[in-house]
Amino acid sequence: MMFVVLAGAMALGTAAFGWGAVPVLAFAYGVWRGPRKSGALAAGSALLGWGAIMLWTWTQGPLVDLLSALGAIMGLPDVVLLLATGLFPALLAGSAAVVGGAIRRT
Amino acid sequence: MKATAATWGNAALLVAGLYAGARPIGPLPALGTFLDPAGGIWASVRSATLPEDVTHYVPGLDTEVRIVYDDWRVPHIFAESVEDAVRGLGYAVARDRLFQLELQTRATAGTLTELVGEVALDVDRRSRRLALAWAAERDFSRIEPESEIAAYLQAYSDGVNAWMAEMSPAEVPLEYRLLGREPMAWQPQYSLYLLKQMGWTLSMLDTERRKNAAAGLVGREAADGLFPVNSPIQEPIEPNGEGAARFEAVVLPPPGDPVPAMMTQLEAMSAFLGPLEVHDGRSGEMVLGSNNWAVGPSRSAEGHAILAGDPHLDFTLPSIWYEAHLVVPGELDVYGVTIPGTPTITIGFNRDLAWTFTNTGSDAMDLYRETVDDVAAPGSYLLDGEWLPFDERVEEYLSPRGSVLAVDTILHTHRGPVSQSGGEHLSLRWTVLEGQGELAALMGVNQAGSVDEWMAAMESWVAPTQNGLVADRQGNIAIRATGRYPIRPARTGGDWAYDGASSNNDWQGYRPVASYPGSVNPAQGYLASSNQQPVDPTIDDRYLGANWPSPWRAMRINELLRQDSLFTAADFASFQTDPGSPRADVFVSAFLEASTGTDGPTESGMLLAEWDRRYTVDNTRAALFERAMRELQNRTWDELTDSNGRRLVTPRTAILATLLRDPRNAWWDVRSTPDVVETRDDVLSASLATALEGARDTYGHESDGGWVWSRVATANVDHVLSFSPFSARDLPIRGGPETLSPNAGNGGNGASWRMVVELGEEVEGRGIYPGGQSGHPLSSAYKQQIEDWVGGRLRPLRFPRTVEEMANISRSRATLRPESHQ
Repeated sequence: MMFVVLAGAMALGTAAFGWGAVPVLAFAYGVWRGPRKSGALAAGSALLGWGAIMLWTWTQGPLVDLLSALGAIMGLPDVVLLLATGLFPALLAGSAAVVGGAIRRT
Repeated sequence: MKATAATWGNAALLVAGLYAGARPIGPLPALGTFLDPAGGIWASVRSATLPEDVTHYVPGLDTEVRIVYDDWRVPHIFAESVEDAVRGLGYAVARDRLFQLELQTRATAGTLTELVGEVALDVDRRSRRLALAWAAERDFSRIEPESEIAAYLQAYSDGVNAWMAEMSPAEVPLEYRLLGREPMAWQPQYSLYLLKQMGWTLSMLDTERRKNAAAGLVGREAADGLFPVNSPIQEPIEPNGEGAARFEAVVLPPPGDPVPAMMTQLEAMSAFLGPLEVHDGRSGEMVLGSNNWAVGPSRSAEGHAILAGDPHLDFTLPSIWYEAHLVVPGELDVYGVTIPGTPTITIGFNRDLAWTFTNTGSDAMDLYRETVDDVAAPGSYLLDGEWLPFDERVEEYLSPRGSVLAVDTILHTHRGPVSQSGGEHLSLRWTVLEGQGELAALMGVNQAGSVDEWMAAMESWVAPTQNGLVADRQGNIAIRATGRYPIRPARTGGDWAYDGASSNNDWQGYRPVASYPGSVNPAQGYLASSNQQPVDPTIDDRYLGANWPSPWRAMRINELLRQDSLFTAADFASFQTDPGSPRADVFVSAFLEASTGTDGPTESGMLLAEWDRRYTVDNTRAALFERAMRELQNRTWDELTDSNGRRLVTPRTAILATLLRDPRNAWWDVRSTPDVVETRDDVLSASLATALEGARDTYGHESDGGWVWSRVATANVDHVLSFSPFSARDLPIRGGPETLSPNAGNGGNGASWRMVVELGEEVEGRGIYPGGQSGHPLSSAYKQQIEDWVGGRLRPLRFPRTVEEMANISRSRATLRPESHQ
């Protein structure tokens, strides 16, 4: 349940405040829950939160066209940008939650 | 200890992630703002389609403006005052073309480095050396603050900035996301920048550079023959009463001795104005030309005037043009294309008349060789025996983050900016830098009610010189080559650099408007222009320019219009993609004659003879002809190559056509065969035979399908940043070098807007351009018109009088309200 709630918070936070909301929320979650498993849960939530926005974006316009165009412009396989869009918030959230948990422990 | 290491590792990861998220690294944009699915690059997808209805509040607006988009995403802007209509235009253009607005403006201002970094430094340096933005700022400072022009510039700026204030993160053009930049605010004077840019594109001629290069290689007399003041084929814009094009009996002076000093001057000119474009022989001709023509009631099937126009410019996505319709009851009701960034319709029609332009290509710039006090560190220049101090302008080039990349000090004489290279100091005098009247002219033109009013409005036009063609509902047609023509010292043209040490070489004013080339309601019942020499020199031999484009397109359209028939708008639309070619008619005959011996025609001759001389998409012989033309030019103009074997300049094909009449001229002799003196027919037959070998090597055997024209020559419409997924390439189009719809070189330029207007009881326009209204690459309106453009089809241009008439065709609406109503 916490996973889904945090994912929703990540999605709403990103929509309202931009990408910076992800590490802030994850850090706060780490401080609240402590270090145990908070990194993985925050990372998964960020992935799910951004994934949900991407899914919604996909229903709003030609996302696949953009993906393949960007891949061609940057000389990368299309999937790399998609993976980066998932990994970037996951890494930020995971590391922020661990750091937050460590601060709580001290 | 293990847990601490993991924590530190995560902390490092977090810091790295935050840094990469917030700051660009190398060419990569900041990842956070880029990948953010709610407001980053992915969000662009959500703005590909216009919302059905929006309301925005705009500062400065007096009353509500309604913008109704039709099924081609053309905004029909209904306002209560011209100023408010202009605000609506600024808003609509920014909404669809924001990135293009900034890119074009920065290109003129020489501030591209601030957008794309150091890679643009050389381009920026050239722009600033030419003083375009400097001149625009000076012109802006001279506009009366209370004048109508000032109000329109401010209104347009308000509209652009209002859109920027209202747009959501998803509506920020995705190019900004890719570059990791934010849009810049619009200033009223930027509209003048774009008019200067138009002047640069259309009047920066290379006459002096070409002649210098030729003189450096073969002497001045030969250079004068190769790049003459008068076209050797006369088919002028101002009717000369002759029933056909006239080929002058010109004898080209033979190649002479090289003049090395001319090459030094050429280097200085190239450092200033840019290097000469080296043609690869495919056409040897510019294609940044245009066509326009009109018939009066006596030559139209419906008994009223019809006008057609198609400016030929570089193809880009989004297009250089943006369609719009502005309606202010009782004051303005005009439809046409605008250059994004300018507050008027440039080419179009209103309820009373239609107009269009072709470039005149007159000589509007001169170079002066200045004598300076100190070549290494000049502080003053010599004029009539006195040393005058240079004016100095310091130009600073900034990176996207604001650091200084370079600083230049640019000198000015009383003539204009100065450039130095190899010890030569050249100053530039150019009408584009001498004030502006284009905006007032276009605003007047938009509201003109008759040919006379239109011609009067155009009198303030300065540069670039344009062949403005107009037709009205009363059946009048008129053309005038409008723009400032410098009066130069007696017995000189501006086709060579002047000695700057004497004020006798300065311009002595401008020709009066009444003396401009032109014609009103001529007896022949039609008017046409295609960038050819405007006046027959046997009628008026005053210097207007030199090295005029070969009049092949002019010959073709005159040939079509001289037919004994009455024309319709549909005829005009088909003429715009007519595949016929007087150039091919002249040269194919010559090739065939030279390739037919006592044993009959050669194999290459037989193959060429199968061609109907039309550049249709599916023809299979134009490829052979074009290769033969390239070979012919390589062999004939072999004296014009530098020590690396690179041909520096290529005379117009009209000069080559003239040379065909002189079979033993020294130019036919090929330098690489010193033991043989070649004649015209030797060169023609050898060129054709080599072309056949080359065609088979490149395209395969003629029976294998590789010679189909649509595979050999295509049009390419590239994105403004050359992003290939956002470009439209390899488009098969009808036309070849110097046909009415030209297709040559890299396929990157040609008919940028085609328009035909019938001026009957109701004015009916048709048009098309190779692009679409939206600058959003994911929008269905981004390339919407390309398919019809490729097919040579025009679409009816919707011209409603009221919002209510748009009920069935409206796709989207935007309502702009005064800020005070918020």
